[in-house]
This record gives sequence, C-alpha cells and structure tokens, in this order.
Amino acid sequence: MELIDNGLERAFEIVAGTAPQAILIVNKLCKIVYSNPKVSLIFQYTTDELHGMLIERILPEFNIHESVLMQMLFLDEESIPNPEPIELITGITKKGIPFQLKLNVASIQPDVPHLKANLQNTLEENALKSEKDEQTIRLLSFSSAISRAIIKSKTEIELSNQLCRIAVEIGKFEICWVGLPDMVNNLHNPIAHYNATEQDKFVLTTFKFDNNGPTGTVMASGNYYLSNSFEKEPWTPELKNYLWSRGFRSYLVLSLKKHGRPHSTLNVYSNSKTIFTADQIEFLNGIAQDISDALDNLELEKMHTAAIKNQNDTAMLLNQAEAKAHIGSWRINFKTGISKKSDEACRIYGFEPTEDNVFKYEDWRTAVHPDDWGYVKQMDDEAALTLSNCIKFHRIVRPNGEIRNIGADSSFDVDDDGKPFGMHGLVYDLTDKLNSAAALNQSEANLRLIIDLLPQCILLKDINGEFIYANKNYCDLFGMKFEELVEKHWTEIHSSDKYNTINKHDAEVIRSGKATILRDFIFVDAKGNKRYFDVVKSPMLIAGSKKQAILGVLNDITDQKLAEEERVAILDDIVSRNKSLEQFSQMMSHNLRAPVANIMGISSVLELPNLTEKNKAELMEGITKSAHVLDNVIRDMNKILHLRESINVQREVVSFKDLVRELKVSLGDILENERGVIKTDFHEMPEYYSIKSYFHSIFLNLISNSIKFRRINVPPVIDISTKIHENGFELVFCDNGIGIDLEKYRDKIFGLYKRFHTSAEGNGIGLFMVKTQVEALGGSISISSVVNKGTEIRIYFNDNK
Amino acid sequence: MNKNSSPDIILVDDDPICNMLNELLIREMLPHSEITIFSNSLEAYHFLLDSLKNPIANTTIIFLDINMPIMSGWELLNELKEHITKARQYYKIYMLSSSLDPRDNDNAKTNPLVSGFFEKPLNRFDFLTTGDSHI
Repeated sequence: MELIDNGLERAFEIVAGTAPQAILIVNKLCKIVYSNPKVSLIFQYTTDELHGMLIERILPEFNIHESVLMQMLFLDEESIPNPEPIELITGITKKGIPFQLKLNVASIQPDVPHLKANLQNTLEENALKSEKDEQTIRLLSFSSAISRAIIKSKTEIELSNQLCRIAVEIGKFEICWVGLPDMVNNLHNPIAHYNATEQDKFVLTTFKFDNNGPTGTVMASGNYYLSNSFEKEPWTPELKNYLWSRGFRSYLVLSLKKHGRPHSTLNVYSNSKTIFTADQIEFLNGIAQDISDALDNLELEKMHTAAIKNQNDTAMLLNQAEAKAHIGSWRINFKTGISKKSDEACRIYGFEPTEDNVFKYEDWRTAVHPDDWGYVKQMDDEAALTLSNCIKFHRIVRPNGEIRNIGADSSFDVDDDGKPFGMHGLVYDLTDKLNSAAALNQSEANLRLIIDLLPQCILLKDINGEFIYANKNYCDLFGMKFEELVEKHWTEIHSSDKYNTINKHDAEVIRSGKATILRDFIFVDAKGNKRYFDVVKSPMLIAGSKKQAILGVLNDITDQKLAEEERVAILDDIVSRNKSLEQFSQMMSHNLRAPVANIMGISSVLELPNLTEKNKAELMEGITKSAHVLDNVIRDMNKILHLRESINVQREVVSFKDLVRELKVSLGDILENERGVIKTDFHEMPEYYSIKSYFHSIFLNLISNSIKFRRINVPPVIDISTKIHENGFELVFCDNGIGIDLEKYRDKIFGLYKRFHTSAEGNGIGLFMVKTQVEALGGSISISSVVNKGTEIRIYFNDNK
Repeated sequence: MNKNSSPDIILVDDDPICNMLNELLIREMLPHSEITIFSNSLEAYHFLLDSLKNPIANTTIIFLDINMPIMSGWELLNELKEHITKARQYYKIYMLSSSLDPRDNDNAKTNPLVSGFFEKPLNRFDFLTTGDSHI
C-alpha cells in the first residue's frame, strides 16, 4: 500500500514503529504490505523479507477475509492482562520455531462512496489545480491572441487596449494596464487598462511613483520587475494595504520599448503568488518584445508578416502543449455554424484528429453525458444571457462508450457592436487526475483508518496548542468527534488541574527537541472511567508548511495499573491477615498456655511434702479455674475463627432500635443492677441493610464494655446514635465510664486480649471482636476517651443506602 | 553476704493462681525468705521505686510476669531505667512468662536489668540457676 507523504504518515510510522505490539498489514492477496520493527524482532525476518511475503508463512492458521480490502493484525507477545478474550494463534519464526501469540484483527475497508458524493467539488478543485500545464496553455493562448491583436490593431492605443483585455480575459490576470510614464512628474499616466475599478484608476492616475520603485526601475533598465511578496517591498503602507485589499498577491511590470528604449510599461496583477514562474515571465517578456517590435514597426505590412509568423509558431507550440497537458481548445463561428476543435480536443472527445477537425453541434450534444446534459445546458444558457465566461465540469461519452470527466471553459467572441459572433474555449480531460485524486483520498482514508485502529490514542497539535489531528481513540477519551476537536485548544478539553502537567511536558518536548515520556498520567475519560497513560510526545514538522507541532501518543496502561493496584490491595490484605495471624499465634502462646502452665505448675507443686490441707484445696480450685480459663480461650478462638468465615451470611435490614431493645432484654439484670441507662437516637439512619449477627455482637460488646468499665458509684449512661455524612453514616457510642488513657494505649486498644484495667473483669476480646466485625463489614472504627469522663466510639460505614 | 540471710522475694503477676504456685514453691525452697506479692504491676512499680530510695542491704529477687494489663513487665523495667545503677545493685530481676514467644527470651538477654528468663510454670531447677549463693 502506498502511504501518502504527509504528517499522518509520519505519525503512523512513529506510533506503529514504537508500538509494543507487532503490527502487520495484509492485503487481500494474503501478502504482507506493512510490518513494524516488532514483527522482525519476533519472527526474525527483516522488513524487506517480510514485505510481499504470504502471511501463511509466519501465521499458518490465519484466515484472510476476501471481502476485506486489507487487514491489520496486532500481535501480542507478552501476556498483558486483558479483559477481552483474544484469539490465540501459532506463529512460526524464520528458524521454523512455533510459538503462541495473541491476535487482534481489524479490517480496513475505507468508505469510498463519500468520494463520489464529493465528485463535483473534487472536479472543481482539480480544475483549479490544473497547475503549470494549464497556465502554459493560457499563456500560449494569450500569446496567440496578442498576435492576432497586433495584426488587427491600427493605433498604439487600440493595441494597448486589446493587450489589456486579452491579458485579463485569456491570461486570467486580475487587472492589466499600460502606462506611458511621465518621468518628469513621476506619474504613471495609464493609457489603457482593463478590469480596473474607478478607485484603481484614481490610484493609478494620482500615485507618484518612486524612481527606485517598479515603474522607475523598469523605465531605467528596460528589464521586467516582479514582486510576489508585497510585504518585503519598500512601498508605502497605504499602497501595500490597497493592493492587499484588492486581493492582489503578485505584480509584474514589463517594459515596452520603442526603438530599443523603454517607452511604456505593461502592468499585470494576479491574486496568486506563484503565477509568475521564471518560464512564464520569460514568455511574457517575449510577448512584450513582440509588442515593442510592433510599436517600432510603423510599416503595417512588416508588422503583419511578423505577427503571422509568430502566430504560426505559437499555434504549433499550442498544439504540442495541449497534447502534453491533455487540454484541447475549440472555436465555433455562429455565422457559419462551424465548430473547430484542436487535435487534443478531438482526442478528448474520442475522435481521431483530421485535417480540419470540423465538429457539428449535434456531435457535441451527443458527446455530453445524458445525466449531465441538464447542467451543461443550464450553464450555457446562463452564460449566453450575459455573454459571460463560463467553466463547466461534466462527463462525456466517447463514441466507443467510454465515460470521461472533463472541464470546459468558454468565452464569447464579440464584435465591435457588442454582438456575439462566436465562442471559443478550452477543454481538459480530468479523468486521470480524478482517479489519482480518488486514489490519493483513498490512500489517506486508509491511513486515517489505520491510525484510528491503533490501540494508542494519538494527537497532533500545533505549537500554539491547537489540535491538528487526533485519532478516534483520542477523540473517544473526550466523547468528541474529530470534527469537534480539531482546531480546539487543548485547554478547552482538559480540566484545569491537568494544565500544569501538560504544559510542563510540552515545554520539555519543545526544549529538548526529543521524544519525551510522561508516565502514569491519570485521566478521567468522558465515560467517567479512571484511565492511566504513559504519554510519549515528540516534536515534528508538519509536511509542507514546515510548522512545528507536537505529536502525542498515549499508551493505555490502565489494565496494568489496575492489576498493580489490585496487587497492592491484595498485599495489604495479606499483610493485615498475617498480622492477625501473628496476633492469633501470640494469643495461642500466651493465653492458651497460661492456664496450661498453671495446671502443670499445680501438678508439680502438689508433690511438695509440706502442703497444708488449705494449700491443697486452693491448688485443686486452681486446677478448676485454669480449666475454665482454658475452655473460655478455646471458645473465644472458635468465635474468632467462625467470625472470619461467616461474612457470606445473608444480609437483612437491621433496625438499630429493635437491636437495642433485644439487647436490653438479654442484658436485663446486669443493666438493672448497675442502674444503667441506654439512650438512643437513630432518626438520621434508623436501619441498615447488613449482617444482623455482626451488629448484634458489636452492640453487645460495646454496651457490655461501657457497663464493665463504669465509674465507681456512677450509674452508667450509654448514648447510641446515628449520624449521616456525605458518603456514609456513623454509629456513635458514648459512655460516662472510667475512660482509657489513649496517650498510652492507642496502639493496643483494639488488640486481642489487651486489657487496660485491673479493676474490672474482661477477657480482652471485646474490642478486638468489634474491630474485626466492623472491618469485615467494610467499616472503620475510632475511639476517643478522657480518663474518668467517658469514652466515645465511632463506627463509620462508607455507604448510606 | 550472710549465708543465713535469705533474699527477699517479690512476685509480680496479675494471675492469682500463678502467684499462689510460686509462693508455695519458694516457701519450699527458701523457707526464710520474705515474700511480697503484687497482682497489679503499677503498684509493684511504685513499691520498687520507693525501695530504691531507702534500700535495704539484702538483695531482692524479683519474678516479673511479662503479660499484664496497664503495665507490662517490659514497661515496668522501662520506667526503672532512670535508676538502672541502683536497681542493678539491689535487684535481681527474672522475667516470667507463659508465652512461648522467643522474642521475650531475646529481650531478656539484652536488657541490662534482667538476670534471666523463665517459662511458666516455675520449677525447682529454675531456682538453682538464680544463683546458688542465696540457696
């Protein structure tokens, strides 16, 4: 496939060349037409070897879809986590070693119909682009017309007027005038002009030229003067502004001589900067010479002969140029009804050129494509009404049935009374140009499609930060279409918190002139998903304009990042589990062993000889107590182990009010004995969908703690309430107990078998259980306390559904 | 040091059964020793601190449990650091624990105030290693 030479191709090369995947493009003949360096690396073939190779040599299992113009293959060597199932395929290296690859295929079938829809536009554009050949034809026609004018003209003024008219009508210059400069007063003194506005005329007649300016130079040297960059001329700003405002972009002054000395100036203006190439100026200079000769030659006959000779010469040149440029000319005389076409015009219409090339109206009428006849007729009729020039683009059918696209322009020949007596014009065959334009467009469409298919997000912005190009993946990030994004400034689509990062990166790219990578760029896309990118930006020049731009390629590393985050989360979980296991083993080593050690100790002490009966009784009681402690520890262990497994229990609506009512009943005596009071306020969050047994245990442990750690002679008051927060809710337990010195014990407060008071009973499991259960439910717990004032425990759940 | 003068013994443990056991064992081994028992480590700490201000000539042997509420055995020793010279002079401190955690043993070896570490239950052989000069 031919990749066209523009910025896109360069972008494609950079992106595909540095892509982590191997990228192949295969045509419908199963041949590889493109491969990136990664392919060579994997398969060990060089790029040259791969080019044109049948795909089955490296991917024997790959099936080509014949309906598809081309297919683009992405091959992944590494097993990057990917949520979408990917086809696995066997690849064979140059040495014949088979291995597994992940394959992603995209079809390249560019949408061609839009080209047809734009045919008319393309035709017109191409007609305008008919470039140098057409220009040359114009100039030749111009020359030919001048020759005729020289023959016909009888006075200098008439010749000058004809000259100006021909220059504008055939030479396609904007205006043309002939000046007979007044060298004393530095006035242009125009003696003839064509297409000049009243203001042009006023400027021409009043403007005083500078001796070093165009007119002065030409009159002094006899050479021509060309300006196609007005901004560089030492003219007054008023004159420059005036020329700009008239749309002129270039200006040529030719010297007309009499007796070999500069006599007058021929001035032409064009709205194109590039209309005057060196060849064309040479040619125009030749015409100026002809006219100078004509001016010199007072003997009409001599002038006549010279002109005829010149006309013949130019006619021959014209024929050659027409053939070369596929541009033909034609002329019709209304009086005789005879239409004549040039040789090339005949060929365009599909006829062999003959001696006279006579062409009847009916021949032309049948040549026009039936579908286009309406358009052609309408254009001609409109032109005829005003006797104006006209350019038509339409199809013709050659006698052999072949359809061609042509452009045809026409001008009326008008006699001295202003009546038309004929028409002439040019006809150019645009079929080949259109085909190549279509091929060019298709090639560009292919390239765009390929870049759209690349997994990376690609952007191209100019040095000011305005988007020139972005592929589909990039546009999708912002939920925009390319048409919406292009020419926007990047700050219009990014949130302001990204400005600093992006500015810094861009500045570094421009400063270093090298590709620069920005890692872990975090971005929330239009769908609200958090995405991670490695952004590679490199400076580049836009083909043609030589303007600096920044090419950005965003590699989506979201999957890797999420996997990494998941890994970190898992690691955290493992660390925390490990910590609780460690706690568990500490508990085993201490709390389980303490009663065992006691029993062992008692049994050895019982052997001592001098024990009293009282001692023995105490020791026996010690065994019983130790056995109970042992039992309790084992029961606690069982609870904890069970707790960790029961998180999958069915959830239900837990009403806090009901829960407290149930607990009041089961705590009954204990609460009454201590004259304890439980106050509740659950109006902000009366219930929660969760695991009831957990909440039961949490409430029970916290209420029991408040009763256990009450102040002496102060009846316990426990306040329980719920508070709604922005992203969740809080359960608050408040008591008036003895409190805990948090300065000392903050780290240990929720530890297993940690006790902080010797004055009260407690097995050190309560808060540990509460914390474990809260965390199992996805909540968090915090404590604040003042010794001898009370304790407040807050349980936060990040959810308020 | 007088052979007949038995050392004073202080037991610090929150577990009453353990204290009873150790008391019986010590009475058997050192019938003339004066035994003081603390089940609250904070109280024990204040007692020890006061004793250092008016030290008695006799060496005191302390059996200090590690795992206690309010103030663990290690925390108690930490508080005594300021008086390390005197404490080393008058106290012979043995750590006592039912824990099988090897770190406790390591800590005992490196702590300058600690003379040794015993796993519970305490037995006769342990007493022999506390220094035969007293027995």
